[in-house]
Amino acid sequence: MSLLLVIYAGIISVDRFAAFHMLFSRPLVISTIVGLLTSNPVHLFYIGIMLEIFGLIDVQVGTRITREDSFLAYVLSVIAGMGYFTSVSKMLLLLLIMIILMYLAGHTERWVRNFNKYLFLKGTIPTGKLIFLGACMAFLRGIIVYPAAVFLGIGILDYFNGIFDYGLSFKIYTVFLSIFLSGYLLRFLSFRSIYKYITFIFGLGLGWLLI
Amino acid sequence: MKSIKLFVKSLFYNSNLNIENMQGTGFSWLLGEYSKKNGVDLNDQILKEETSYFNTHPFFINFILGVWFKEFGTMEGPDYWKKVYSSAFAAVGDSVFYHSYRVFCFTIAALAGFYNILLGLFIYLALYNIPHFYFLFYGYDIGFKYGKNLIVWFNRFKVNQWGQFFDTISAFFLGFFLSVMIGVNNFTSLWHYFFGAVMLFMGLSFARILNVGIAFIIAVIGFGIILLLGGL
Repeated sequence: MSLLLVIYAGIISVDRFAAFHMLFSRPLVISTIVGLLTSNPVHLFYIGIMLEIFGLIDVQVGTRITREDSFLAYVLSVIAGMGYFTSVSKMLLLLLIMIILMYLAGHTERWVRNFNKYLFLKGTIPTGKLIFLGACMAFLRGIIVYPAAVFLGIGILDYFNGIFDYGLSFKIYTVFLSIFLSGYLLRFLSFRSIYKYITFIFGLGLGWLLI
Repeated sequence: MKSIKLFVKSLFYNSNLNIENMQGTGFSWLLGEYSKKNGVDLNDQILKEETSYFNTHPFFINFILGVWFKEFGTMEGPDYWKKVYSSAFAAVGDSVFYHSYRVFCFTIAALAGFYNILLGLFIYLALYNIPHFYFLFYGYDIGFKYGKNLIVWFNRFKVNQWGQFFDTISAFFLGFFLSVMIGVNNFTSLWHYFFGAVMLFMGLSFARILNVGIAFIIAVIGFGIILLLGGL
């Protein structure tokens, strides 16, 4: 299973910015797949929803490097899937640390782009080989950066083992954090405000009536 | 040119993405691949020139290749139309697929996921990738058929309105999804409704003034404090 998770880390990295673009790098997909691999799908599904909403509030335009939501989803999902989240406090602590590290992980994407530029400017490498090397570099980045952060996260949680244990209702925290982030997502949708909020409230009301 | 091999190759074309020529390497690489299949002789000089700056949305690459081959050898030449369509598709693709359609797909997938997680996963991947694969598979033929008039084909489907359309239905489904999420988890007491409304309002208010990354950090710290004070 560990090998599958490492290979998946590589695929996520490739899907993010090198090839495919088939959503394998989206937080909801990552959390669900990792959840199925680690037999913990329901808990991870809610983590996936929260991080997916966070990730959706960003668009890759031109040379801009988007927030590394895939990194966040992979690290949290693998650690949660392996059963290291013994309390809500540990989940929140790791989430906090990984949000900060996410910006560092984003820099490794820049390094791969710089390496691609270096190879291109050499001017002697055939285009087919440049494409192949670019995909390999993205894959390599994934299998190094993501699992390294998983090990770091496990180390941090081991350090707090037996202490700092508060709360066991994971779902309520992920659900209300998702609602908070949904406010951002609603603002992110760009059409005329008044209609947007009416449409949103209509959906909210219909959902409430049905449930 | 409906070819599985070229379809797969077009999934990889921007692997050399960099800030010097963006996707230029991939564009030139695909030109070489298509020219072999087309029997068009493109010399090394042309392929070298085509590694210059190029950037578009990845789903639309094959449309541009179709236009390029159609316009190859004409008075205007293919590069003018390559520039026109690459920038237009970059704008349309980013606003429709990355901004609006992905949100729509997510809400539908998450709703299905409450019923069955595997079904949610399948719906997310299928909904998003059906237009993606259609564009990559048929894009070349459509681009080649219409050439520089490719916009006529897109105008048939009112492509400039897709973003607004999916933004609208995404707003509806986002509201619907939030209600269902609260309902299926039985967070239905007055206190839950109140807290949910406060969270949503805070998200909406913070979004005007604060970067979402910083807001997320603040929210996690805030929830940590609530947890230490007795929890939700």
